[in-house]
Amino acid sequence: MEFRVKKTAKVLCYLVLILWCLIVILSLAWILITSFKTNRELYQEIWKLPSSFNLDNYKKIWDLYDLSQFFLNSIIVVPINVILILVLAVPAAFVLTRAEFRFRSHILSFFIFGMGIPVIIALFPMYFLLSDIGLLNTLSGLSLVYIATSLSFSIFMLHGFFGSYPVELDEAATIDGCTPFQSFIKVVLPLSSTGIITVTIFNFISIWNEYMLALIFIRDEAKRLLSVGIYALQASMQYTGDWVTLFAGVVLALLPLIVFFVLMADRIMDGLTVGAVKG
Amino acid sequence: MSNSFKRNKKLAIPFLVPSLLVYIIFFIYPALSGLFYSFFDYKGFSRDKTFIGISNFVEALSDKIFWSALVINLKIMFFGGLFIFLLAFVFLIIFQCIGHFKGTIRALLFLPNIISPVAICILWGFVFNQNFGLLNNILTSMGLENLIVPWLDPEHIMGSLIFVIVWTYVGFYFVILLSGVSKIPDSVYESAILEGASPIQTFFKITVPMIWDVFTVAVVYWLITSLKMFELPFSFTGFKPRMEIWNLPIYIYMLGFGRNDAIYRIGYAAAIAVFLSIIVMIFVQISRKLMSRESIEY
Amino acid sequence: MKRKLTIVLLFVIAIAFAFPLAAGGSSESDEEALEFWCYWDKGHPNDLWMRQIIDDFEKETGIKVNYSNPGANILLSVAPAIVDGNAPDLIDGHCIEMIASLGNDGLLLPLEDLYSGTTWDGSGTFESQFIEGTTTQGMYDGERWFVPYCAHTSCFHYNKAEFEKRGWEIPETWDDFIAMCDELVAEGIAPIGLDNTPLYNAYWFYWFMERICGTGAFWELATDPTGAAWDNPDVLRAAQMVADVSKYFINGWMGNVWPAGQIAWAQGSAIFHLDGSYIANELFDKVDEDFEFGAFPFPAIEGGKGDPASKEISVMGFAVPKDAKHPDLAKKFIQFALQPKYQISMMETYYPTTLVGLDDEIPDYIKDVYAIITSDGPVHMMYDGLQSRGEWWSTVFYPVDNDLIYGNITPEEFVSRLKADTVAYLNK
Repeated sequence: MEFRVKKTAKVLCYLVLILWCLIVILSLAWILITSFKTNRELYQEIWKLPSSFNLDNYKKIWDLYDLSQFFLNSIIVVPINVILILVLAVPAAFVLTRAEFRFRSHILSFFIFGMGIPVIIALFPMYFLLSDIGLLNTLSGLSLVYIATSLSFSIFMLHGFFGSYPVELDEAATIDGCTPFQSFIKVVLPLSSTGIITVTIFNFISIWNEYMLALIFIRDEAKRLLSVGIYALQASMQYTGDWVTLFAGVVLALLPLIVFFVLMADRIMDGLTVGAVKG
Repeated sequence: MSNSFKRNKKLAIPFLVPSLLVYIIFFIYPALSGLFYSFFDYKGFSRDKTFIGISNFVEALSDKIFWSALVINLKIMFFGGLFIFLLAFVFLIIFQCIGHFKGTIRALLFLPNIISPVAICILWGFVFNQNFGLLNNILTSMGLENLIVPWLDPEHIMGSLIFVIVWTYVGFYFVILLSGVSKIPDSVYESAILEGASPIQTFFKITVPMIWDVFTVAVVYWLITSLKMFELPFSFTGFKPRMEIWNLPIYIYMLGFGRNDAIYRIGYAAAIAVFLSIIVMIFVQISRKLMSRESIEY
Repeated sequence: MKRKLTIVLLFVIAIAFAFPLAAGGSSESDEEALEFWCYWDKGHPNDLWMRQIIDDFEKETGIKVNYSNPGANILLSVAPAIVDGNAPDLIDGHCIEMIASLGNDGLLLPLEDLYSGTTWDGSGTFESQFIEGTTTQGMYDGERWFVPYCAHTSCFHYNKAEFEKRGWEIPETWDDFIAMCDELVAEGIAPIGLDNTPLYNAYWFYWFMERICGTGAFWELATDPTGAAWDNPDVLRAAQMVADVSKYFINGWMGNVWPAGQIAWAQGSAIFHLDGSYIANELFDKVDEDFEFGAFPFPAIEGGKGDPASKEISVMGFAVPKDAKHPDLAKKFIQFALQPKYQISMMETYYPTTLVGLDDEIPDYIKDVYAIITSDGPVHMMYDGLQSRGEWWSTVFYPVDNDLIYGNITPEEFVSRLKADTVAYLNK
């Protein structure tokens, strides 16, 4: 929806946005450029281009720091987790928002209450739990923990999105002969696609970048996630000060997120133009 | 309400039970165990625990560092939130006035969110650096040297931290609010414009009320995130977090899980985590009450 | 319809449990293998160094090593593992970090039999190969549980090229040092460069206490429940000297977030830098080609009761959890790893060795530091060992020490505040 505004106002608007975006672009560009430098170059010429774009840092993280393996692990595990969270959270949020039964609001609050708990306090108990059921040092165990800790926010956010369209839609669909399940799939999901996409994006980002649980619960290097690899890179920087390599790792970790976001952005655009409610 | 669901209440169960199971087994149960430690004096390296009742809680209430960490938490929550939502709404209005590049601009605004907090801190560390920092370079070249302060010294570091937090997260809240705006049908706006409303008027009389649900969600989410924020402040001062920006999550970490100058008091950390959870829930409840209203029928 | 739901649910559960198959199950096995958890993050030069040792060890002895890198936060992984009954066989890291967490509770295996045994090549006793003072920091009940592979000290670092330019000699007393600083100030050059971190800010009070009041006096301040130790006028003198020396810090140092300050020093914006001897390792690839790392010990202070020859030593090395399943393999590995050839390769990235007899192999950048570590004189621990009293150290001491060094409080206030806070803390 675009307003018609005076030319000067429009120019001002563009200026503000462009200025802000410029800062973002420059920041990213700086990170990218620095990843092609050597450490010495970094400190002699912080804000200038390197003398040569060497790929040493990237080779280093790919081979030496084995980020290629970790990248693969993350790119498989994280989307699966995100999907599983949706499979669990969307129906739950729907039922907690639109259905009526006893304890509905209590259960909803029960989920929302979890958002306030700092996960770190559950770190050791989770370790012992996973160990007891034999899922320590497995990606499934880690995934179950990720899913469990993401449900609160996901359900809460979906509840917010589900709540904001009229109930008549459900009834209209039922009258049309849909079973509740069908109405769920055909009516609810498309209309709340924005909410679902928002939750997907958020979960993807937060799980992709999460390293503490992944560090403690997974010991086998073969199963390590990228976020832990980057964290290790950054931690070893305390000793080596190898910033440029760290940036190469950061860029590597960033790329899939940008790709994912660009993909999702198209869907958001669709979501934005689709589906006004027909009165 | 939906008759179909009233009739088939049993349907609700399979939709809900899997989530509840996973949630309880793998989060609530360990979290409660963890919080249970708060009644003990527990180091974490062996099974030895000494039961000390509510001593940890009492101690926290008279702990200087607990209170100063809480204050820092609240400052981040309040000032960070203020600027984030102010900026987000400004961007929202501006966004509706422009015609082109919307997708790109929205993507760029959101981008800082997905960069790992460590990288953001290193980046801004270089910008704020007083010897070769970009900010000082720019100010000097514009002749504004007198505006230069040591951005990361004890006096100014909170301001710098809040600035970086706002820069990072404003895009996220902007996108959330935008998704709320997207659901407002064009017809509503068109009739408003036909009646001669200006953009500002439409914003306050139409946009804001109609995205109130989404706005509530965003606010509640900010409250929770800002109170639990750990990684960004932790990495903001290199790898040894300075006490001037110790917020509660950092303090909890230092108490139970830190290194270098680790304190190894898991029980006490758990007690403080309990307080943090309570504080978060209080704020969430207050804001949900304050902001609740009936959904708009249109 | 219900069937559809069941299908969905089954699908979900199937995915969830496909994981163990896809990602491989837990790798617990009962074969005889050494479970070694390393302090160094993967890719760090010392990690590569360790991997080389492991390769050689496996080839020579046929013993398999299960090696993983929890990294610097290793204790966070070790703690639940020990409680769970799955302690690793071998860990490494800073001795001081292990003292408070594991050592003082007797959770580490005594290694006296290793020490009284021979070196790997049988040419002498194991303990005789170590520099004096490096093996006695990790002890419980009079028995050593720690074997060091790297030693550090803290001292003043400088660029030898700068000294040559000015024709300067190493200052022997504090007054000599201050005279040099005054000269620099007159020239408009910052004498001392540093970062604003609580841990490094604490260097100053600790070293003044060491030189003025002697080893153990600082420890006494932190542990005397009556607080009487604070009444010693020499303590006030130490605090006063902290306030005085802070005037020679580079301008705006309070805004230096690590490692901005040490980088600035390395680039010549200040002359002296008080830090640990790992500075060469951290900066060698960032300095100009003509930078020469030099170091001298904290100078003697006139009228000080401390032994001016007392040197600080802190060590990194190996330890074995008491509940390790294969302690003998661990000891064997330690014996193997402490061979001179591996120390020499470790020193390639400027970590000082803990073994004697390698004087010819010391790289230039750490020659001065090594000289300090091997000099004659008594040994004391970094911060008088107070990092093992982490809570007092970071919650009581840091805030007040920072206030003093920022110039927010006077030395008298420093002493009285810390006395009151310490007494309150100890009598809680």
